[in-house]
Amino acid sequence: MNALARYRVETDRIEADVAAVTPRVSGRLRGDPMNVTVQDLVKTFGETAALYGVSLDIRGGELIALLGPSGSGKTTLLRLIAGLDFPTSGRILFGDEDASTKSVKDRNVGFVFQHYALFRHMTVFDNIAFGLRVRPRSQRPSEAIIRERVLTLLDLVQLPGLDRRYPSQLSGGQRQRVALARALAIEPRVLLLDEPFGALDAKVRKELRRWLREIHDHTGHTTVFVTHDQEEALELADRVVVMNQGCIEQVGSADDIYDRPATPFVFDFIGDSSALPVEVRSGQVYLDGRPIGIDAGGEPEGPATLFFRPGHVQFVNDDSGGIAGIVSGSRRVGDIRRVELEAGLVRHRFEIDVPADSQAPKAGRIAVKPTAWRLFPKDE
Amino acid sequence: MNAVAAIVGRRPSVIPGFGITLGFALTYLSLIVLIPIAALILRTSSLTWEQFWAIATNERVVAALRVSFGASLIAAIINAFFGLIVAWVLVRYRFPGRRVLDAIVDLPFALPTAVAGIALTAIFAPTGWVGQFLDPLGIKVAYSVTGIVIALTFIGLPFVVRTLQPVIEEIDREVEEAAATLGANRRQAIARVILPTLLPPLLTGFVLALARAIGEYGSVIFIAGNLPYVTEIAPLLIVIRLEEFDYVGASAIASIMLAISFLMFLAINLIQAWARRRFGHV
Repeated sequence: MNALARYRVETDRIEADVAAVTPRVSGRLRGDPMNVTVQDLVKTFGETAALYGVSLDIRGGELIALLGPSGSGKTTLLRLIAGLDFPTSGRILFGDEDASTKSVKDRNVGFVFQHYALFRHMTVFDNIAFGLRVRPRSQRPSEAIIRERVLTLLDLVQLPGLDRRYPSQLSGGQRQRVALARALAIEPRVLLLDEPFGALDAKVRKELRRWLREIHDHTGHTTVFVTHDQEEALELADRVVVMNQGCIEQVGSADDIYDRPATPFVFDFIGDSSALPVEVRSGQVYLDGRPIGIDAGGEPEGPATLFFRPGHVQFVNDDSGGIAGIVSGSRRVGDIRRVELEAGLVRHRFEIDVPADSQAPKAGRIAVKPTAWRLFPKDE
Repeated sequence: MNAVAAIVGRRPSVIPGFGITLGFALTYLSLIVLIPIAALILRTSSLTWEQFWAIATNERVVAALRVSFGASLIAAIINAFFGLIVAWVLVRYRFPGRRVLDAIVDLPFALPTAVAGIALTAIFAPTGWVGQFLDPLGIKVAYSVTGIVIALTFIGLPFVVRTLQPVIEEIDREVEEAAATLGANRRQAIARVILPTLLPPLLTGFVLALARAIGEYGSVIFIAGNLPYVTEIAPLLIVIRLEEFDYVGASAIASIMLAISFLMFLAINLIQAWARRRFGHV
C-alpha cells in the first residue's frame, strides 16, 4: 500500500470515529444556535480608538472569521463580544437579549485563547471539568456526569486517554484541543476563538483547521474566530469579515471577498494583486497619458487606482493598447511563474503570471491587458 | 587550568565553564558554610552523649528553643499571609506612592536589627505610642512573646514579598480571563487558579522568612525582655553561655538549632520537589 492510500484509509478511519462519537455528543453539546448582533460598537483605549462604530449580524450556527492585519480591531471586537472588555458605546445582542452589560461570567461564551491559557497546575481532566465544577451547587452536575462529559469531550477532540496528563506534557496542537474541549464543556451559546492556530506550525494548523470545521458542523455552535491568515479565513469560514483600522471593510463569502472586493483595501489584502495609478477620461483608462484599452464603465472621471490579479491578464500586441512593461525579474511561485514588470516613466511595478514551464522572460518589453479588474476612484 | 579545560573540552557545550564554576561553587560553599558548621559540630562532639542529652533536655534550653521556633513559625505564617497581599497590591495596582511603598518593603533588610528592636520597643512599651493604648486593655506587647513575634514579622516581610512579586508579575492575565469565561467568580478564580500557582513561591518565601527569624538576635533581645523560661530566645541563650565561657554548652545548643532547622527545611524542600513533580513547574 502506498503512502497516499494509507493516508486515505487512516483519514477515513478518523472520520468514521468522529462520526461514531458525534451523535452521542451532539444531543448534549448542541445548543440552540444563537444569533449575535453587534450594533454601532465603539471602543477607545484612552485617546486611541480601536473600533469605530462596527455593526455586524451573525446568524445562529454560522462560522465567521474576523480577518485583518494586526491593529485592525479584530481581537478587540472578539473580546467585546465575549465580555472581556466593555464597549465605549454600542450594543451587543445575544438573540434578542441585550448582553452589553452582562459580565463575561454570565454571558456563557466559550473562549479559546491564542496561547491556550490552560491551568497548568491541573490535569487535562480538571481543566475541562473546571467550568462545570465552578457552577453554583444547584446547577452543578454530579461528579459522575462531569466525568462522562469530560471523557466524551476528550473523544471529540481526539485526545482519548490523555485525561491525567498535565498541560506541560502536551504538544501545542494537543493543548489547543484541550482548550477547545474546556470551552465546549460549559455548553456555550457562542464559541469565540482568538487566533486559535496562530502559535502552531503550518502542518498542525492545516489539520486543526479541517478538524475545527468538522467539530463546528457537528456541534452547530455559532462560532467566531479571529485570524490574520487569509487562507485560513477563506477556507474555513461561512462568511469572512475583513477589518482594517477599526472598521469593517467587507462582509461576505470567500467568493464575494475574493472575486468582488468591495474596497481597495480588500483587493490589496486578499490574494495577490497589482495596483496602478491611472486616470479616467471620457470612459477610457489612461496610464501615464496612454490609453490601456480598458473600458472605464461607469467610473467617474479623474484619478483612480486600477487593481488586477497577476493571473487575470492576457498578452497583447503593443500597438493595440495595454499596459506595456519592461521585465525586471521573475520567480517561481508554486505552480506558476510570476514575472515582475515596470511600466511607464515612473516605473510602476506590477506582476503577471505565466505558466511555469514557459521560459522566464529575461528582459524586454511585454504588453498585457487585464481580463478582470476593478477601478477605485482615488481618495474614496 | 589545563586539566579543567581538558575536562570541559571533552564535552563541547554552547555554555562553557561548567568545570570551573562547579569547582568554584564547591570551594566557596565549603569555605563560607561547611567549614564553620563542621567546626561547630566538632566542638559539640567533645561532649559525651549523656552530657549532650543533659543540655538538650535542660528546662531552660527547651523553653528557649520553643520560644525561638514557635515565634518564628508564627511570624513566618503571618508574613506569608500579609506578604502575599502586599506583593499582590504592589504588582497589580497602580496608585500614587506605589514606588515609595515598594522601596519601604526593603527597609527591614537594610536597617540594623538592633535599631529595629529599639524602635519597636519604644512603640510598644507600656508608655510608648501604641503601647499606651494597648496597656489599659491588658494587651502586653513589649517584653512578651507577642513582641518577639512582631519583631520577627518585621524582619521577615521582605523575603515573602520579594519572592512572590516576580511570580505574580508573570501570572498570565489570560488564565484569569479563561476562568471568568468558564463561569468562575472572582473568589473561585483566586482559590482554584491563582493561589495554586503561587503556592510554590509562597512556600519558598515562607522558608526564607522562617530561616531569617530563627537566626534573628539583634531586634528580639530589645523587645523580648529576655525572661528565662518565658521570653528568652535560643540565640540569646547561646550568647549567655559564651559570656560564661561555656563554649561547649553554647555549641551544643547551636547544634540542636541547626539540626531542627535542617530537618524542617529538608521537609519543606521535599514538599516542593513533590509539587514540582506533580505540577511540572515551580
